[in-house]
Amino acid sequence: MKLLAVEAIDVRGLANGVYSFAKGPEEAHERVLITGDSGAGKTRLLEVIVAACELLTIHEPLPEHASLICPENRTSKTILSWLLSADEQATIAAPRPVVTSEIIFGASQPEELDSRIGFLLERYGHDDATPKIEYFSEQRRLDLGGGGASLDEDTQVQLRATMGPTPRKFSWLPAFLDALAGDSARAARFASSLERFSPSCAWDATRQTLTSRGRPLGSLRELSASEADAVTLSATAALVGLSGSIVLIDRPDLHGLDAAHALSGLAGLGSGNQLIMATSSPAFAAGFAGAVIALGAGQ
Amino acid sequence: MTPYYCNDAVIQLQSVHSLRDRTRQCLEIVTQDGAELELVVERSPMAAGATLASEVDASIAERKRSVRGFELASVTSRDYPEVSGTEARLTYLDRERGPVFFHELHYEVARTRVVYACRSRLSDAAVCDQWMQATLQTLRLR
Repeated sequence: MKLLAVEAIDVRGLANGVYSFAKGPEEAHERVLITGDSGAGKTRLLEVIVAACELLTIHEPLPEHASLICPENRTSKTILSWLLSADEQATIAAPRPVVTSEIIFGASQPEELDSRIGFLLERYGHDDATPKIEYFSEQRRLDLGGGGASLDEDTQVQLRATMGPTPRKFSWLPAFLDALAGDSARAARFASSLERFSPSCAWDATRQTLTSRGRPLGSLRELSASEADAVTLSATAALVGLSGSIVLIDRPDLHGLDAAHALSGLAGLGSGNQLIMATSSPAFAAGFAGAVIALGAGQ
Repeated sequence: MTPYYCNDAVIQLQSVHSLRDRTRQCLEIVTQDGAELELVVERSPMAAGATLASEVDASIAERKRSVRGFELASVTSRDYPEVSGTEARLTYLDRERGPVFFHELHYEVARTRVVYACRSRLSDAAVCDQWMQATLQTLRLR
């Protein structure tokens, strides 16, 4: 499943229009970069996608969706155009690989939503065979405050794509690292992904620990900000299996990851992912191979 | 032809400081060839500084963001014998009725926007459209 386009109709903080991620009528860009100055609507475009997916799966509006509605209006709307894989098309018996979902935020009655797309979005498995919508928001950070979330599927499915702040989203990380000793395949994937993201941080499989510049770390608190970001992104992909998924990343440069490592790392999260990134960093746009959507005046 | 008079009575409103007329009349009609139509006549005071065009645009924009399957077929200026206004044709998916068609005429009288809106099933759009055009030809101001 990939996104071909997002149409915004009176969404607060986002200009009306169709934001196309399409290469052709039935072909989607696998790398999309949303750029623009602060306040241009980059995060909002990602949030609209996430909120629409929430409505399609949860079937009821959430309080944070109110922020998508202009104060002078009662509703706002988005129309998502999906490009389905052959398997997804067959699963929901869609006559064409392109399916649209119309989502109204603020509707006074429960929305009549496209249950076919909802069915596809609700499927979940800790594996690469089940496509997912993953949202790495600007709020992401390694949470070491205790009370870590479980690694199990029932917990993790609730942490994938949510518009609201999710302080627990990465609180499972210490448990994840502890469990790597008993799962060499997952450990190898985590190590490989981390290597692409970070020039300094690595997973030492022999000593079963993270290292920074070759030095074993006694605690996750010793990670630099960019290393912690690299660890959280790599661990997420290794735990839940991100392939054939739509991965939304707000500010890949947030914690200091440089463009080259961030793009390499994100590409290494899994195979066949559609990466939709938002940043105001010129370094990311320079030489970016994919679709660039520049938000701003006159968009 | 069946004449319909909007005002069948009169009352004297007491001690009025201001008045906003939001009268809404709704007629459910089955035509002789079986089409089910709903004609709504609605009045709404126009906001300060608003024009008929801006009010029509706002009315259409409200539906575009709040109903499913919204399609605007046309918006044109239209002159009928006694009124001139903006005529719109549109369709959307009604929760209870399924695909519906609207033919509506908006015009202005003394800073009030008056709308004659006729709704039918989408399958009866042609009947609704013709019926509405013929009906609006008979509109006479009192």
